Order: sequence, then structure tokens, then C-alpha cells
Amino acid sequence: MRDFDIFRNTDDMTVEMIAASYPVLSDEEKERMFAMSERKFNIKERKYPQGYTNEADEEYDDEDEVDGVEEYDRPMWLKFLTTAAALMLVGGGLAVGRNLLRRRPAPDNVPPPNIATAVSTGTQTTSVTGADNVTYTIDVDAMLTGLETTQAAPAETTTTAAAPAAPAATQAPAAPAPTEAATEAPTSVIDDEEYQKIVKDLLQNEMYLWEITSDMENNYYDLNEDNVIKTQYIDSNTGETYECEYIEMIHPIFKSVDDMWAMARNTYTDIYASEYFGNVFRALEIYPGKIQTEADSTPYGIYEGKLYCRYFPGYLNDPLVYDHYEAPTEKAVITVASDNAFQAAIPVHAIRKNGEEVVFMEEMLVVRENGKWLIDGFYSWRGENMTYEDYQMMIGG
Amino acid sequence: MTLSELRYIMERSQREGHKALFDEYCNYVYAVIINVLRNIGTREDIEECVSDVFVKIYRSYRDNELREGDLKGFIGAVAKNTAIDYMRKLNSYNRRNTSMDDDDFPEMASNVRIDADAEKKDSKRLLMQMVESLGEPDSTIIVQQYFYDRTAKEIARSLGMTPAAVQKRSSRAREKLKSLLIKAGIGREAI
Repeated sequence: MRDFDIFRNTDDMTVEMIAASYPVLSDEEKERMFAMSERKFNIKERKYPQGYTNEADEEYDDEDEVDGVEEYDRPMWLKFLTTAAALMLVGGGLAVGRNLLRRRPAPDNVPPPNIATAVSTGTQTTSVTGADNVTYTIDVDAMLTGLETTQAAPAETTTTAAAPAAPAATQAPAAPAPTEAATEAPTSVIDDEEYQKIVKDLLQNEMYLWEITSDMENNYYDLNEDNVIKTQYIDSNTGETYECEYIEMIHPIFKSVDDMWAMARNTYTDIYASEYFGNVFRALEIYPGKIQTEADSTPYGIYEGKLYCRYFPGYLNDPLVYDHYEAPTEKAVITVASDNAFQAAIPVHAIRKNGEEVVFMEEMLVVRENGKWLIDGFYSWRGENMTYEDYQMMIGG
Repeated sequence: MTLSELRYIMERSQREGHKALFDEYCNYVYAVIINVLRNIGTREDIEECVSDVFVKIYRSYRDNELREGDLKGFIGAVAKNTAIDYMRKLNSYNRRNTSMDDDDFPEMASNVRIDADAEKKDSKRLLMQMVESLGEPDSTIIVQQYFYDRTAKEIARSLGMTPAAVQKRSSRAREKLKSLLIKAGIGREAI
């Protein structure tokens, strides 16, 4: 029973009032139930037409009965099919885990990718297409320095966050600086221009994160065959085991689970981060040959103190996998706004490895906590292939 | 809809008559049923039950058992009795027994515990007033989530919001409702 069961045993009059004031059935549900009632009515009419007197038969007819036993030979091919299905399930789980990781935006204290004045001074760089379709160079070492500074002195995070990465100056997060926020509470509703900037910055961060977590060709993962940790996954249904591979994450920003959490918590509210990423950002100890079950099978593993990512064979060559996102050029649709929270939707353009472009609406709830804008919820309308125009129509825009 | 209006449509087309009756009362029947089967049956069980109720009503019409004046009362009674039958059936499938003394057992038509029931009804009405005082969309979110047992995603779709926004609003509305209930001196046992 739920903890807030206020409607338990509601009296008839209140039920009548709820039905009238808060009708809940969709047209689809109504159609389904009406069709069901018509079908049942017609069956009953055929079996027990008007004038049929034995009501007992009719009552008894409500109970569905079956008898007899059908012998069932389990075909051999089914075994192979279920094995393949189990493998797909494992692979799908890995893909989902990896995809979830990919969807984490970068923290505010790490320079976002659309930095117009970025200067590459480090040894590792990456390129990301910015809002104006110009390719920017990111100084990865500078970002790492920023992250390490934040982690080394957690108590100082709010005051040192913007300091280490000088290139971030031109694209600082739209929210007021944490130190300012601590002393002055936000009071006024921000203007549309600022909403747009916050949304684009957050989204840009997310794309940037996607880039660096998926780019296996850029030395972020140790793909050397000799360093792959091979474990085994046991299927609890069939008892069969499958090979499972982990590769070391050597990206300077993602070297531990704590790194991931540091980033998530710089971008998401704590509750949202825990709720949506709690299971993904877990890493259990692995070792070569370890037999894993569902319970101890996580997208990441720790081996000799280093972070490993479960590898999904074939992933890199899958033409339908998203290769990169392109920064949105459209304006975000701000639907609900208050001083400290707003909801925004903006189309995201994802380009698959085969070059195909997929456009979907990314909707997010952004809240201001302690003067800092954080994402408190995400929802993508990608499953419905919703476009910018569809979305505007849906919200009556 | 009156019985005369229903007869008029039925004379034209039985299916149209059924449809008109269904459209008029489906939300009511659904609400009566979910009030009994919430926490017991699945969504499919509830939909099956709704369709069974309408089959009974169609057949009652055919057999001239409907009376002018209290069509809604008749439909409500059929819905409630059918839902209670479903509850017994589902409980027996689940190898579970429900005591008639159990708080979870729905009120019976005879209204035996008149005093206690009257008090509970007052509390429920007060509760509904408080839910309404939350304003939209919070009141709809609370009713859909806790009366109709809908998920955040389903509510979000019906209101054109995101599931995350629904969850957030629901959480805040719940806290507000709790404090209103406490202020009004309505404890958990009263509702």
C-alpha cells in the first residue's frame, strides 16, 4: 500500500464528484473498453438471447474454464534463439548504460565546448561543433585541471570553480556566480534571452559529454587487446556463460566513479542525479575470469584501482549509433517559468554514423538552487519523432 | 441522459445507443471501479470490469429493467457490485482473503456503520476541497496519481508536461496537502 493513500475507500458521493471534475480516460482507452463491451455483449446475446431463462448458466459462463493437457516439445532451435536473445539483452543493457552515461552534461566548472577563445596548450585536444557550426578546440588538460582543483578542495568549490579554466570566460554559465548567489537571493524573473542562453549552455555541455564518452578513437579508452579484462556473464535462466569485456577508461576527466559523480552533481540536482544515474554510476570490483550474474554486473568495473568500462562489441561499427550531436540553432520553447524554475524544450540534431540526421525534442526542467541553475529532469520526445513544429503545436504555440 | 433519450437513440441504432450510454457514464463507472480495485487489480482487470459493467447495463436495458429517474444510481450500483465481485475473484486468484472487518474492504451498500461512515465521508469531502484548493494542475496531478493510480508519464501526457515536472509538482502538492490536513486536524485514520 502506498504511503499517501488518501483516496482509500472514498465514499460514493466523492467518487461521483471526482468522476465529473477529473475525468481521466483518454479516447483510446474509451474506444478499447467500448469495443470490449460490445464484443462481450454480442457473444452473450448469441449464447443467451432475450428470453433465456436459466440464469445460473449465464452466471457460470462468467468463469472461463479450460481443460486437457497439450504436450509441448521444446524445439532445439529455440535454445539457440533464447541464447541469442539473452546475448542481445546483455548487449542492450550495456548500450543503455553507456547511453545514459553519454547523456550526462559536463559540470559548470569545466569549460563548455562552445568556447570561442579556447587555446590548445595541453597534449590532448578534441573538437566539437559549436552553436554557430564552427569547430572549436578544447583544451582537455585545462579541463582536467579544473576538475582536479574542484575535487582537491571540495569546501572551496563554490569559490574556485571558475578560476582554473581561463578560456571559459567568454562562455561562463548563465546563472549568477555561486559566491554572489550565497549573498543575494534571486528575485526577478529572467528574460527570454537569458533562458535561451542557459538552455543552450546546458545542452551544449551534454553534447560535449556525449562526444568525449563515445569517442573511442581518440585515446580516451585503452583499446589495446592485451589490456582488456575478460570476465564472464552467467545467464540466470539458461545457466550458460558468455564472455564480457571491460576496457580501461583513460580519459583524463573520467578516471573514476567519483569523477562522474562530481560532474553529475555540478549539473544536476542531487536528487535527480541519484535517482536517474545511481545505478549507472556504479562500479564493482572485476578481475579476469570473474563470473558475473545480473546482480553484480555493472556498466563499469574497478580493477586494481582503475576504472573500466564494459565494452559492447560491434558498437563502434553500428551505423545507427549516433556519431555526434549538432548544436541547436532554434530557440528553446519556454513553457513554464518562475523565478527559480522553468521548463524548456529544444530540438536536438543527432547525426548517426551512417550520416543520417535524427531530430528530436529534448525537454528539461531547470531549477535554481543556491543561485545555480541545475537540471532537475530530462525528457526526450525522440520515441515519437516529434519535431520542433509538432512540439509547438502540442503546447499550443 | 434520461431513459427516454436513451430509448430514442436505441430505436435508431442499438450500437449508437450503447455508445451514447458508454460515453456518458464511462468515467463514472471507471471511477467507481478503481475505487474498489485500486491496489488489487491490474489496469487490464479494471478495464475488463468496466466492459462487464456495460454488458450488464446493455442487457438490463434489453430486459426493460432500467427505470426512469435513477439511471445513474442504477449504473453506480451495478458498477460497485461488479467491482466487488472482481475483487473477490482476484483475491481468490491471489490466494488472499479479505476480511469484511478489514479497512480495505469497500463499503457495502447496506451502510451498516452509519456513524463512522458519516464521519469518514465528511473527512473525504474536506479532503477533496483541499485537493481542489491546490489549484491546477496540482489538483489534477494528485487525483490522477492517487485516485486513478496513473504514472507520472501518463499524467504528463494528459497535461502536456514532462514526467519530471509532474513528479516535482506532485511532491510539492503532496507536502502542501499534508500540511493542510494537519492544520485541519485530519489524521490518517480519519481518511
